[in-house]
Amino acid sequence: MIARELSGVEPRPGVAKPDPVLTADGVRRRFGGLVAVDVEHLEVQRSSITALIGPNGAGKSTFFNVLSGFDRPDGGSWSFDGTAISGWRAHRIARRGMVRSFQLPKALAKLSVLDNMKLGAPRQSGERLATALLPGRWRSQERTVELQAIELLSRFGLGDQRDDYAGTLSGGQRKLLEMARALMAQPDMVLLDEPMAGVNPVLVQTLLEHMKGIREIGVTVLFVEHDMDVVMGISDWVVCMGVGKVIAEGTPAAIGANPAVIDAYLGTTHDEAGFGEAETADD
Amino acid sequence: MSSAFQDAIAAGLGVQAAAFALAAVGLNLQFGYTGLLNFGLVAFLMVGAYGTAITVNEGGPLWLGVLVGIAASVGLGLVFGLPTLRLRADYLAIVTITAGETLRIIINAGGQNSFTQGPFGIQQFANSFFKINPFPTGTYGPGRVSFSESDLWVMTVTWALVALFSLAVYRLVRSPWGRVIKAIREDEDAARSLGKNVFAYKLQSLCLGGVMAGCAGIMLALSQQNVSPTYYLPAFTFFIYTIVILGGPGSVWGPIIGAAAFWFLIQFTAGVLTDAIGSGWIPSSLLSTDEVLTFRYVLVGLGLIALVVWRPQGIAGNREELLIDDR
Amino acid sequence: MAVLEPHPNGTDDPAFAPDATVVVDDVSVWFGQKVALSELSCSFGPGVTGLLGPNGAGKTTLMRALTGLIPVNQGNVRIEGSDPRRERAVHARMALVPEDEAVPAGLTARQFVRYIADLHQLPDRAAPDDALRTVGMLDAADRRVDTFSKGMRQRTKVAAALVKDPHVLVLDEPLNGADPVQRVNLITLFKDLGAQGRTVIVSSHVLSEVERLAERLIVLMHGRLAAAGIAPFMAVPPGTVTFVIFPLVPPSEAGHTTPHTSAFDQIAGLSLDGIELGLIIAMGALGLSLIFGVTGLVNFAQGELVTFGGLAAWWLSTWGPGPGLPLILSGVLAVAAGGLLGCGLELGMFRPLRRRRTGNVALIVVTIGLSLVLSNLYLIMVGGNPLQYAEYVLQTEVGPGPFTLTPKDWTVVATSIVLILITGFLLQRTRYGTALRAVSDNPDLASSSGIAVERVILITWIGGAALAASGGVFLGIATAVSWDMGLEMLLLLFAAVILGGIGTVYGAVLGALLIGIVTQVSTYWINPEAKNAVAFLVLIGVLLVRPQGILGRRERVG
Repeated sequence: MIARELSGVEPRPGVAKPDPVLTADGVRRRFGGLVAVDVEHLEVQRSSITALIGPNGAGKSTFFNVLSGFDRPDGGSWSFDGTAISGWRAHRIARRGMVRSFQLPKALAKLSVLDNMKLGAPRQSGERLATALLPGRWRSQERTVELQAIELLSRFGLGDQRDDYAGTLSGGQRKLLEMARALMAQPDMVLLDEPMAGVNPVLVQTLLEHMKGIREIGVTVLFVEHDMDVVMGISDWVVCMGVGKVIAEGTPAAIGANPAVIDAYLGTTHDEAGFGEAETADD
Repeated sequence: MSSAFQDAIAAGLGVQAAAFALAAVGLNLQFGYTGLLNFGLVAFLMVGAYGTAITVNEGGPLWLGVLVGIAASVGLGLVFGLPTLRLRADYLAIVTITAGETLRIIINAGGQNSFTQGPFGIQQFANSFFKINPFPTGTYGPGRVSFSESDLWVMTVTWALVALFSLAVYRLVRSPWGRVIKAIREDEDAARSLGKNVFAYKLQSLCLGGVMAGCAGIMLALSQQNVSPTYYLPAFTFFIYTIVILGGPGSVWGPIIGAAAFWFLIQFTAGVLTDAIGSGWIPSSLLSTDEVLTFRYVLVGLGLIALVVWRPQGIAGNREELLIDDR
Repeated sequence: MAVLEPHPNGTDDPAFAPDATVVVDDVSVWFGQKVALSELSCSFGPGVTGLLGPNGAGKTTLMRALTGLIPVNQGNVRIEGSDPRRERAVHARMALVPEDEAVPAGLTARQFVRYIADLHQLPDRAAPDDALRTVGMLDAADRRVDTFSKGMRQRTKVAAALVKDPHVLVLDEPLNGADPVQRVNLITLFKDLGAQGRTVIVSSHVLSEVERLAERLIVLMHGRLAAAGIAPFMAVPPGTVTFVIFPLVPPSEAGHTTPHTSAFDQIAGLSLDGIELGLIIAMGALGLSLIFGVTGLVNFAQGELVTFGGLAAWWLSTWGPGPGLPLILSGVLAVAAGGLLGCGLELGMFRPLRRRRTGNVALIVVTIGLSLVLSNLYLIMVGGNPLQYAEYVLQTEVGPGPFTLTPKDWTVVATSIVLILITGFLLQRTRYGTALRAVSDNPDLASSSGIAVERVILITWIGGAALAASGGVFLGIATAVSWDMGLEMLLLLFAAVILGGIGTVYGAVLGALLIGIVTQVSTYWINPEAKNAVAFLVLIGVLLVRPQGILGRRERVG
């Protein structure tokens, strides 16, 4: 259904989408003399699975960090589900419904799997200092949260490990945990930063199934990925970044044949040449 | 030997141990549970004590003084925290120790007639506290493990506060609030990505721990009937750190066990060394009885290093949950 | 603070009390070749007079001469007109409370005071209790003196002195070792005794305390009268322009607050003092910055490395029965020893800890423990009083216009500049320097490029500790050495490094100079006891507003 919605959209960088949940304008981030991100315009279709690809150094993770409030841009604005969130702090954006994962999984090793999950639940009265001292005020909510967590864990196949320290999980299991934990907040959008990196092929399939699953319930997924098979197999839309800019957008098929995309990937073997070009272009 | 032992027991139960335990409960919340490297803890004791002393000195009732002292601790937590909690650990350490010292210097620089009375400090402000002492005059306890009625009163109140605040920490740590704190301690960004306002939590921990330390300062000041700037030096903070680490950072019983053990060991060592010097085992050219007191602190330093290197979880701490081990 | 001005000889000379009960007339005392008092003339009257001076100045000798314990070789001493050496009767009206006196073991306070009373065959049976009451020891009178704290023992000794109701009371460093509460009690007691009309003479080395306690101050240096005055003003005999007595008071305060110099002159002078202080701070700050740059460790024991240099040089220069090693040699050896200490710390403590992958927070706590160990060992080894090098103590200031310093201070300035230049040269032009900068920027990259990171770290620790030690030697030359000189300096070191930019060597020097100047010049307006607070506020401000400091790079921070 999403594919149908997007099939009529022209594969051009910065193209408008029929029902965008995230819109970014003029987002710029420099590190010293280096331009890391320079996105003029980008829109992400609601309830789609959109992939963000590009060679290393293209600015994908930095873009993620800026969008989710973990880094301050040098300019630009972006809005989420109609609300302007540029300048918001990371935790506020997360509460608004845009949850992100990290390249290096941040499953909290010193907490149990179940505690990790419970952390994800929003608006817990027991998390406020005054209420925390009175267990009567948060016990019942805690029970509800726990049930929700157990249910999600079993869906993700982690039900048996719920009382283990998250540090004892394998890398792939931690990624699953991160994804499950992100869902505790019932987000509207998830930003996944290389969700498949370092995960064994079997678990990759499981993760992909889950991604499709959350799309079904209306969550938008924007994910960074390097594995082209994965990208082509699951994405509704692909955005390709190079030297900080969006150099191509389109359906997986359109992107696969796009000469600019191929150039960008080939061009990264001549890193200096690529950066040098970008800098002179900026002058 | 037995007298050294008895003195040591008395020290482990006494006013100092109780007050240090109270300060340690506060530091444990800030450092053991939340991972804040607050090196300015002594400043909280100082403002709690001075808040009380100044209020009484200016004519106010003692209960108001205590409230002022507690409010001052909260205020100091805000002053410390609002600008600095975004800094990383070693910078936070430097800023907090410096801020504490600055405050002490400012208090000390006041003249004799300023309201802090400068280097003279303030004395004799706790009479109303001792008036309500329910224990009749006398000494309580067997042999040398005995306390005067005023000491016993102070001990009772202080240990009660220790129990009260420990219970509160126990409750908090097992609550969702505690869960967020644990997450923050391990990885702030992860907590943020889950919608937790990391800064607010750190500030709460700092202020709440600060109030406990402030109460410790108040109790010490009441028992000595004296506040003076030279008492609140950075070394004081480091003794509380030793206590927290000795007892076990991030555990509820840690501060209590740590404080009792710390004072027991300090007193026992002093007693043993003094006896050894007195009976000639240690030549007094090497160490004289006056120097024994200072030598204790050398041992504290060595003990702290040994703890951190070989047993950072202290007596009651949990090795898996340790912050201090992280790279 | 003390104000110095040349005083007119004759009337109202503050060295002489108007209603003198104790008169010292051209007194000289020598022991073999060593002159302890030299042609000293002064007098004491009712009330409290403070006797000040560094160790070896002659205070104790004077006190013992006053009480007749030792003879004078020249001149004479009169107590209420009588010679204490010849006329024993005057002893009944006079009492000495020496600094260190063993109390016979096993006696309670009351027994001890009674024993003293019996020694003097005093008829009044109530005198011991009265004396104990006066010093506030009546409650504890039946406890054994060897169970007392230092302050209580002091008070007991004062009671033993008071029991004969003396007109003249001489107390040798009575506040030494007393905690703040005891200090206040003792000060109040002495003031009361002075108000009763007794002649109370109290010796101390803590100017601020004695200023509050005494109405008059007499200062001794090398057995001579160096200054006298009604506190807080001191008059200086012509010929001594400036001197350093109390390490708590750096030379600047003494030399520059005369009312005849303009504001510009004073501030100029203070700035020059600030530059000297800044260069001294720079020695320790360089080490701190280098060690942080290479290992990422914030060394809270850096101050103790500074103290080490100062104390080592002092010990060497006063070594043995003779005059000890010359100061320059002592200084060089002290710096070398400092380097050795740094080597030992790195090899014995920090390298093994890095191997065990001990975290940053744990390492900071280890340096805290190290600081506790070292500073308290220093306290045990050299005691709580400040100490001075034997040579170069009294000098006159020289220099253009208001920019004057004593020759030894100019030496400090010149030597430290040379050391900084050498360090800069080593960092810029040698392989080690390049390697160090590489390791500071990116240790993993550096080691994979073949740089021996561990060796770079070791050299840095040796160099950093040696520089810190030289800072201690310089500080000792400029003021004095004490067990806590490094502790006091630690936060200034942090201020310098952070202001200049953590991890940058030139930043450390720049920051140190700025901190030194700001701190010293601020004393023109504010109470010198609070001058360090100015530096600290700068530190806090920088960390909040621009944590990378002046020359630092943003990416190294936070």
